[in-house]
Amino acid sequence: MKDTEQQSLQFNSVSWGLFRLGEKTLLLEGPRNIPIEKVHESASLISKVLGKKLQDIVPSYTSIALFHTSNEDELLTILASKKNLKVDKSAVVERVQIPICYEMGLDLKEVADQAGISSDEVIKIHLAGRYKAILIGFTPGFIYMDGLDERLTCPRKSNPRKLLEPGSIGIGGEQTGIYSLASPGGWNIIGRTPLQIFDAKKQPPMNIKVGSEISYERITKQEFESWGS
Amino acid sequence: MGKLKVIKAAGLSTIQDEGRFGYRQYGIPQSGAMDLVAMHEANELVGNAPNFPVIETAIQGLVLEAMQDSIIGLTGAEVSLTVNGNKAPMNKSIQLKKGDTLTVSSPLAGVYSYLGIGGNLVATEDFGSKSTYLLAGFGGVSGQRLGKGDVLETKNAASFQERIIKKMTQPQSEIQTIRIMKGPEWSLLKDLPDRMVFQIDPSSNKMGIRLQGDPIGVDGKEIVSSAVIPGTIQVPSNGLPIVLMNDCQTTGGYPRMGKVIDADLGLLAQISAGRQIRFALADDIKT
Repeated sequence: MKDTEQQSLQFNSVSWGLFRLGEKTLLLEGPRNIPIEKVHESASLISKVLGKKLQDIVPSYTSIALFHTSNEDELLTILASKKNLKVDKSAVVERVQIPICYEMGLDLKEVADQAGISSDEVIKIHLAGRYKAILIGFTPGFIYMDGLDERLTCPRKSNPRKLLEPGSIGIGGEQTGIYSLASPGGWNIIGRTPLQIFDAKKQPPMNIKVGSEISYERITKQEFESWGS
Repeated sequence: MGKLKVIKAAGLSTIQDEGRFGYRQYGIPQSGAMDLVAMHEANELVGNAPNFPVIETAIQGLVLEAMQDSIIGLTGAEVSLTVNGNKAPMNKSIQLKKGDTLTVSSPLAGVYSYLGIGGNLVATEDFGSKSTYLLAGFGGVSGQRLGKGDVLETKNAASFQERIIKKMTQPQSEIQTIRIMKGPEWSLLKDLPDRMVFQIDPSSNKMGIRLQGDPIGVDGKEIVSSAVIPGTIQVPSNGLPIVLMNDCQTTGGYPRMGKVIDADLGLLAQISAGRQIRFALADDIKT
C-alpha cells in the first residue's frame, strides 16, 4: 500500500493536500485559512464532476472527505483535468428560518450569567444573529453553525447531560448547533425548536445542508406545544 | 422461511448487515457487523446472500425458540451452543424443528457471534440498511436491541443443506498484530513508542475500541473537526489511541494517526478486553 505521502491536487483554484483516510476514502485538506464557502463550493463541484463515482462526500471546516467505489488514481485524474470550472453563482443558498422557544432553554441563565447580561439580552442578541450550517456530524443530523455573537460564547458543561430532547439548540464554546435527534450532549441549551429537523423517513432526511443560512424566529411555549397540530 | 422467538436476550444482541453507506453527509454512521467475515460466514451456512441481515450477539448470549422449522448457523466468537440442552456445533448449518430451544452462551473466546437464519430477515430498513443503530433508533427491530418476545421471521429461505465453515486453526499469539495505514496527522506524532503495543480497554464498544499502554505524543492537541471512519485511530490528548468502529461519529476533532486496514478490523473487534495488540504499518509487513 502506498504511503499517505503528501501529494497535492489543484482543484477550484485551491491547492489541496492529499491524504488517505481509508482504503476507499480520500481526504482533500485545504489551506488552514481557506474560507468555509470555498470548501462548500469545491465539495459541490466535486460531487457534480464525479457523479456516481462518489459514494459519499463529507465536507468539514478545511477539508473534504471523498468516499468512492472506484480507482483512486482515476478520480484524481478526473479532478485534476477539470480546469476553469464554472461555479454556478446563481445557485440559490438555502435560507431557513427556525422557530425557537427560549422558555425551554435549560441553560439560558448560565449563558446570561457567563456573559454578564440578562436572559432577555441573550435572546435579543441570539435572534439578531445570522448563522450558517458548516458541518453535519456528531450524531445524525447534528448541525454545527457559525455566526455566534462572541458575547454569547460559553464553555461546554463540565457534566454533559445524558439525554437532550430533539431540537435542542445549544452553545458549546464558540460553536453553536442543533441537536436534531435526542442524544447525550454537553452544550448549553438556550432554546428548543419544535421543527423535526431530521426525518429518517424522508429522502433526503433533512432540508438544511452544509452552506444553508439559518435565522431564528421566537415562539412562545404555547406555540411550541401546539406546533404542527 | 424461518421464525424464531426471543426468550431471553440479556446482553447486546442486535440485527446487523453490512451497514449503511452514502449517508455520512447527514451525520449518519455506517453501523453494521463488527466482524464482516463472520457475518458473511453465518449467511453462507444457511444458504443466504452474503449481505443478508444476521443477529450479532455479544456479552451475555441469547435464548431463542423456533416457532417454525428454521435453518440456523452460528459463527464468530466462540460460544457454547445448545439445542434443547444438547451441545450443538458452531460453524455448521443446523436444522431446527418447531419448538426447539436454541441457547447461545456468553462468549468463551472473542467478542461478537453471528447467528444466520435461513431466508431474508424481516426488519426495519433505514437508509438502505437493516443494521441496528441504537443511538438514533435505526434499523433492526424498531431500532432497539433484541428483547424478550421479539419475533425474528425470514422470507424465502433456501432448503436445508449441510454446510460447514472450515476455520483455519491460527496459533493464538499473546499479542495480535493489527496492520495499520498512516493517517492525515501521522506527521504530528512524536515520541512514537518502538513497540506500539496496547491493551484492549473494557469500555470498548461498537463506537470505538479504547486502548491502554504507553501514550503516544502528539504535536497539537486538537484539529478542526474533520471526517473519520471505522478503523480511524484517533489520538486524544492523553495519548491513548481509540480505534473508531462501526457506530462511530462521522466527524471528529482528534488527530488521526492512522487507520486499521479493513482486512484487520474484524480481527480487532474480536479481541476481548485485557488482551494485547500490536500496531504494525501495513507497508512494513512483507508477506
